[in-house]
Amino acid sequence: MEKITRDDIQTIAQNSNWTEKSASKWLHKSVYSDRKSWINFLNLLFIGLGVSLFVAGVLFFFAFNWASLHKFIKIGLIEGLIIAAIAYVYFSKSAEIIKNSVLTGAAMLVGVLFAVFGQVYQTGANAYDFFLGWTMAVFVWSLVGNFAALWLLFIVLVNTTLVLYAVQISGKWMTTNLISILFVLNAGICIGFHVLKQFTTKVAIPKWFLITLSLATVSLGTSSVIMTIFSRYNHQYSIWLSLLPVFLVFSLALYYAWKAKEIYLLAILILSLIVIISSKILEISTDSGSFFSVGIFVILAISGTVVGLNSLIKNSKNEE
Amino acid sequence: MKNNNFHETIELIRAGEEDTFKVKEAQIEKDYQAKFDNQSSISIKILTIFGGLIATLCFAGFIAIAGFYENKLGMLILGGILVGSSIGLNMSRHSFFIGTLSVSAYLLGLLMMGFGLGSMDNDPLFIKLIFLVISILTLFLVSNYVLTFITTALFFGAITSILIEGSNSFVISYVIAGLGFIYTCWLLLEAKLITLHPKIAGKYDAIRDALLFCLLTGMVFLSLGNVFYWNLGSYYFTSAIFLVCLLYVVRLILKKLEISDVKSQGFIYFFSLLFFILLLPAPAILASLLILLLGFYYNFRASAALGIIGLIYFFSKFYYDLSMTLLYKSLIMMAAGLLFIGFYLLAKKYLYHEKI
Repeated sequence: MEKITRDDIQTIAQNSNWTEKSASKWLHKSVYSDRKSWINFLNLLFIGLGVSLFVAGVLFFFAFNWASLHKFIKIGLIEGLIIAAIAYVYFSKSAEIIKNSVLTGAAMLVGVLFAVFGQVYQTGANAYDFFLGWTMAVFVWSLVGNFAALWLLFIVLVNTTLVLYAVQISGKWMTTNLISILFVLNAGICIGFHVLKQFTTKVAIPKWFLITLSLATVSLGTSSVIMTIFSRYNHQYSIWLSLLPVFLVFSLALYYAWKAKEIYLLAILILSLIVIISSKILEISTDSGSFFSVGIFVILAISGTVVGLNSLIKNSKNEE
Repeated sequence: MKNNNFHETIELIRAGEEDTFKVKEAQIEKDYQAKFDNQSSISIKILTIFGGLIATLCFAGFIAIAGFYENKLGMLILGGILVGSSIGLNMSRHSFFIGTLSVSAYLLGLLMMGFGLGSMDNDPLFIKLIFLVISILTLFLVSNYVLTFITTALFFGAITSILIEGSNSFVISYVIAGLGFIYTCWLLLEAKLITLHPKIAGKYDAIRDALLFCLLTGMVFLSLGNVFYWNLGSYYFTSAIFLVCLLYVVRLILKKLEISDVKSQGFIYFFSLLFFILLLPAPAILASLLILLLGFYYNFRASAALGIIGLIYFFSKFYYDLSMTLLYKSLIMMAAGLLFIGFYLLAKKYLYHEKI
């Protein structure tokens, strides 16, 4: 017997003379959080709020006295915190999730350390150097951490470093090319994690992480194509540079999403394709007829997609 | 497949009921089949809303470029027909295709009616009242999730703009207080509402989600602060309403934790009240806390997750905006942190010792 869900209770309430009292009894029994969940939740809430507020308070306290502190104390303080955090991760017998959260906190503190170092010694380090150093310093932790939040921090750092390199050091890259390169980079990471999830259970890859990566990658791919569509200064090679990777990755992703019945991935890919096709129609002409055609196209495409996704979910449930 | 097991579910429930308990099994089977035929997921709902919005914008562009807006009466009539037909379609057919189509038609119809009524030099209050009436009518007539969600949001949007009309914009804080109260009651009275009328049971989730959406939107406005002229009285009134709701939730939690002795209850109420009073200048933080606790209590995950995000965002915003020196901010934070660590130790001592 499957657990009685909120949906079951609503359906029965709609078609019976069920009393409020009985419905309430079943909601409390099968749907609402029980005493055990509340105890665990309150413990997590209190310790989470307590530690984060206290640490924030300590940081604010040092920020208040910052100007009058000696540079040795400034850098020593942050390094001390990093060492303490890593020592905790290494020696403590706490739950994995707590140790990994502390490791992620330490990875963030490395950024603070670089910023303070730059401020104290006026190294002239521009933002690109700063982010490159930070990215390299936390690379090994990201590898051994086996923790999605830390990977996400690392991926954001890699992207930021690349963008800052393009803006501050190279200075010659066209925005469309930069977006294409970011797309290829993130698509590679995204595919890598999807493949890893298929072949190993040792690495814990949560669904929210894959959804975030996929959303970022598809958004970059969509932006890349739309910018190419509307750009007036495109060379032949830059058009291919932006279109070819998106075409290849999207085709692969559509095939995978269909096979693996990943509804969220299918939904964002199709939405992206609809936006791209609509942009192309509006690029050709912006008269009233084009807007009307795009409106009709979007309604038909979305409705068709929804019907298709609906039958896909139905088939997969039937197979179960 | 779930609908194969519904007989077991009904039998299980029937076992604890009196003989007067009557179930329309054939209708339940039909409902399960309809739900199975119209499988939905959060991705599909978001896709429908986004698609509807993009299509509506395109049609709005078409109307603007083609110059149709010059025919005011035509716009109004066509808008009315679109709204009416989308409601009609929804009442007669329940399919995904119709659902998506009707969302676009409904939004476009509203937009055209707005254009038409606005360009006829009507009193703004009259236009808002028309939209309020449309939202109430739609809410009664349709059963589609997305349309119910949009209509509930439209209803509260219309109410807010009517209340703001001709008075100071700080009135919005009363609306947010009201929304917080209604959201709490909506969750609190779930059993009552779903057994009250089949139509309410069918729309319960959509209205609940829309209430949460409106409340969060209001809180973001509230936290921006400088967007509206704030009246301090209205600000504290909003906080006071959230405080009352929170105290009621504390009562529910105490019941759930089976803490019945008066001394412990008094101690918990005293510290909860003290903490909530300290947060009175920050209604958005109180509201986030309320959304989080209600979400966890009623196992409504989106509410719990948004409550946590709100708590982090509004806490950061509050301390950033606070016109105090860093020293005071740091001392307040450290004190609050120690208070929570104290709560944790107490909870661990009195609740966790049972080795659940």
